[in-house]
Amino acid sequence: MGQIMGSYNARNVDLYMDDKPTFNPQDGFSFERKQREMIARDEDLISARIPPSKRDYCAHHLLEYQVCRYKNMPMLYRCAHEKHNYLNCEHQDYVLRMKEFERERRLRLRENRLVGVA
Amino acid sequence: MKKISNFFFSFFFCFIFSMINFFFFVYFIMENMTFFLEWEIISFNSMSIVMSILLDWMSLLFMMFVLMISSSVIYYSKSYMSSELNLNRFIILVLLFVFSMILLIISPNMISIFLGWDGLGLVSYCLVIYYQNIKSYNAGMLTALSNRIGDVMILMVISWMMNYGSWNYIFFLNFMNNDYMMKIIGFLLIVAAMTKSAQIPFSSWLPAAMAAPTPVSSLVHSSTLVTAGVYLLIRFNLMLVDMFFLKILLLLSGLTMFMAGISANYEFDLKKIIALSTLSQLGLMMSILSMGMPDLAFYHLLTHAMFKALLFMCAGVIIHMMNDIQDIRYMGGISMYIPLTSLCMNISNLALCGIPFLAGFYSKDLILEMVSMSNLNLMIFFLYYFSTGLTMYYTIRLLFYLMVNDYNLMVLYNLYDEDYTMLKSMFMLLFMSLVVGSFLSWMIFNYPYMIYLSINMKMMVIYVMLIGLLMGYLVSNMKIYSMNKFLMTYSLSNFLSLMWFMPSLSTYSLNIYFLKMGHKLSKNVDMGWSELYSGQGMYNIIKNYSVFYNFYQMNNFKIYLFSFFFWMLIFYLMLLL
Repeated sequence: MGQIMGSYNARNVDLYMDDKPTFNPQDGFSFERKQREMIARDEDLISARIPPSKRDYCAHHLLEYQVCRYKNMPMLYRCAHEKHNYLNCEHQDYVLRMKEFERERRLRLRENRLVGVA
Repeated sequence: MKKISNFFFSFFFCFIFSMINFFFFVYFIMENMTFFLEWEIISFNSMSIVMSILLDWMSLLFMMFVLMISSSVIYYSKSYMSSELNLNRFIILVLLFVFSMILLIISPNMISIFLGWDGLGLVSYCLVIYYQNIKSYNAGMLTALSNRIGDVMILMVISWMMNYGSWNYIFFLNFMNNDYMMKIIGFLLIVAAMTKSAQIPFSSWLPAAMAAPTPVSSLVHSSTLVTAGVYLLIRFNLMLVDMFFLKILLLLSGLTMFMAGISANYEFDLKKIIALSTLSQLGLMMSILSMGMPDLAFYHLLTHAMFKALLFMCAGVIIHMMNDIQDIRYMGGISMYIPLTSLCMNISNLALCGIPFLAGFYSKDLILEMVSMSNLNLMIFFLYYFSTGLTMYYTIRLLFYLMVNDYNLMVLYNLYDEDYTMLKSMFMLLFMSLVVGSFLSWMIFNYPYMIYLSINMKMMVIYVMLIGLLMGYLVSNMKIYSMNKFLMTYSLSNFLSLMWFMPSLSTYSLNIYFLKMGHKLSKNVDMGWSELYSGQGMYNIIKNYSVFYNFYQMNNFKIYLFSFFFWMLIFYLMLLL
């Protein structure tokens, strides 16, 4: 429920948490947005047996963490640094998605206002 | 001497096996390895019957925990059950239980799972009726029959899986996922798991099973047997994630933890309070499992097994000390007399509440934060957090009743930590309860969870726990005036304290219909139609015929004689002519 609280108002514009962005990614930006790059290579992810659900933009940090885990098992407190890097990256990714959600909400509001519904 | 050596060998075997499993677990998780061993027994009509064993980090770790707790419980039983007549039988039953559990854990095959599953049911029945009295027999029957529903479901899964040509379910999980038939198998499995893990509406057997000896409760009905259902669903989780019934399970398990939490607050039996708390934690495991996070469910399963087994052991020591009295209203101030047991009791209780940095904290806090992170409605959120508050509530109430309030049993008393054998085994689990949370959180999470919450959401657990703490303190100090006031809410209290009338639902209220139907059948069929057409009716017909013949024979004998002579005369005349 926790995260749903922040997204509750978005239901006014029929926007839910699992919806994908619908507007042009450049709308409202004065500069050109670059597409995000996947740093980790597919071969590395496959060879490290990372499950498909974890192969996101932070997977390169996850690979580093996995390597550290392998080297230091079972003294895994030594991998705190790598783990923190990975979680930090995931956090940034999460913030980015939240910003994208908010952008979608505002653009929908704007669209409604322009056509005179809101 | 012979009895003691049996205990020692069993303890030694379990402990060494547990350690071996631990080393293999570390190796397997490091190398991300899985062993799948298969022996073909027979193959006919494109249907192969194989004996298979699956060894991966999950099965090895669970085996390690089961054996560790078993070894501890066996060591404890050496003292706890010392006055028992048939000690060998007790040990054999416990070892049979451990064997069934291991069979269940390492099986990727429905047939061998069923053997383990049914073995658990049977041995747990034998252990529940161990003290042979009416109460135990009733409790055992309730336990066995509730679990029997699950056994039937597994049997139906086995018969359905014959269509696929193999009972190795592990091969079907991924690529048969869209098959409609697999949904039916999933449904049957969920119901089976609900019976074993005592979810609503099958909850009533778990508190009843407390009729078993306390070491058995510690091993069987808190840490291992009841988690078999959770473990089964963890194994099948890949197949179940998209099922609608899993959402029903989320609601039912949420309600189970809520119901158990409330009932524990009304309970005065020491063992039943702990049993209801087990039920509450099982609900937590099931609900996080049905949200699609099996690793968290498994994590909580393991940490919970440790501190709950310890909690039961402490309860056993207290019950021994109190001359076999289990009512917490008689207890009080025991921390002054048995400080070491009280230490174990307090630590396991606080671990249950999720006090940082004990075992329960790592798993419970992670679960609750993942609940906060997920996209769920207010009701599920309420059930989770309210139940967490209730856990603190009944734990603090229990602690105050046991440790702080006055001792009420006798005027003159002499209480002390009587047995160091029991204490030693408890300290083994105490050590595990302290370290296992952080240790496992390092080891088993290959892929850590990112949690990002606002401060109040993050602190929500602390808030509900503080409220629970306050309420528990107030309730434990309740005097006669407030008790009397409670009579005003008698119907509600009755409803809540009797687990929402669930024991009645699965015993009296269900039985009565079958008994009535049986009565009618007996009247109309057994004593009615079937009697008319077979027993009594046939008797009447044969009797009447025989009376008739009798009459014919006895009273009309002269007619025979006359006709005999008559025919003889005719015969003679014919010969002459």
